[in-house]
Amino acid sequence: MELNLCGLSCPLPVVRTREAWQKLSGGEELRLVVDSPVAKENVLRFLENSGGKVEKVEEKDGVTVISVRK
Amino acid sequence: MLKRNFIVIAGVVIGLVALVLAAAGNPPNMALCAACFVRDMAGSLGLHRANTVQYMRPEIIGIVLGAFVTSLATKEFRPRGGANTAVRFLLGFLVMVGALVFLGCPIRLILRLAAGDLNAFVALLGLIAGVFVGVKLLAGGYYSGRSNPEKGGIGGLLVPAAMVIFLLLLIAKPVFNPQAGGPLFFSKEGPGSLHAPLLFSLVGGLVVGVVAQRSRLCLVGGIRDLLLLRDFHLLKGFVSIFAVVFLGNLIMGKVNFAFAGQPIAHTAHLWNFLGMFLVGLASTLAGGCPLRQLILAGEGDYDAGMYVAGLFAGAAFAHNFMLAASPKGVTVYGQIAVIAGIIVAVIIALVSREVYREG
Repeated sequence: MELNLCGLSCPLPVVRTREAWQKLSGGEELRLVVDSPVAKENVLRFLENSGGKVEKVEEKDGVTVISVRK
Repeated sequence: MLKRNFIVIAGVVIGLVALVLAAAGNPPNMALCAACFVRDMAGSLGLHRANTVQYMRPEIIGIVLGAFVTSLATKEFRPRGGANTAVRFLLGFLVMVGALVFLGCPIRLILRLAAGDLNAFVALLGLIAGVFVGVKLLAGGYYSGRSNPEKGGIGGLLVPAAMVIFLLLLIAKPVFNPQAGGPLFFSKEGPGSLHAPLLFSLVGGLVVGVVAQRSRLCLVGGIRDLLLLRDFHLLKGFVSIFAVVFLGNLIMGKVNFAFAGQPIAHTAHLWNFLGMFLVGLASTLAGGCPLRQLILAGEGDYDAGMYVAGLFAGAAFAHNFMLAASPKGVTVYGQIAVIAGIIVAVIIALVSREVYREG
């Protein structure tokens, strides 16, 4: 599953990540696209607190793609 | 580890800045206040005629410019906007109305609490209740829109540029109209006449702007994240400001636990509660407290810039329409405005839900 969180203001990136996270089955991958450093920090903190395994954080032209597995 | 706990350092630094500014001459229990100080600036610009609350507060200028310079240095300055921009103006307006009924923003609420003002405790309960309702509306699908990068970047520079102009006017103090006064007006008595020396205030504001930008400190966000995500991170900033100022006040013998007789405060409990309820609700919908919006405006977010413009407009209307409270209490107009503001904020949240499903 991929979520485009670009342009969303606080706390919507985390709210949407949480909604997607709750629907995700164990072992499934979630890709999150963010375009602000604050959204990136908040989403990563949420994933860390939720026990997600962040596999990759790629940054290009101000856009960050976070790949996480539940 | 340091990055995660920087929010605590930021809170401590802001608490220390508040103690210094209080000692240097800022109004009692009002060393820093995003709402009261913007209100004073609106008065200084002649947008309202309450002659006891007119001063071009360098702290606010410093906060915005501190965030601006820091975001430039860290490559986080990004001119952007377009996410329900007009609604953001309205939310800023509503936040100011609520804040001026309580007589303070969330920062001043902490400063008042740390000096023993129990009215601020009632207001804190209101703030938490307002954020709680805001969180429920968020969970119910409230959508605040998507911002986009701004071509040219003029909108993102608007608030920092305005602050530079305000600072130049404050330093130069030109007189355009010898009879009527202006362009800036200054209180001769009342809270507007009480202020630390310009350099103290400006440097204090810059320091707050830098640490708040780096830490993402947000007082409403702290309560929101705890209620929504069980995440205590942002709230650590709130708690550390309180701890430092409370300790400082305790050492200086300035803690007075009481409802009555508190400086620049009233004891109308219902309206302290509801005023801050409106601040909590509207700030949650706007994505952060007034301090956070000033920081975002400094980072080039013109939606936050419009929120700041809404704060100025709200302050002007609050005083011209007699909505603002005073130590004597809350006017009937202020009471009506708070109730109407809460209704408007709920309507904004409810009508913005459908868009979420499409997005």
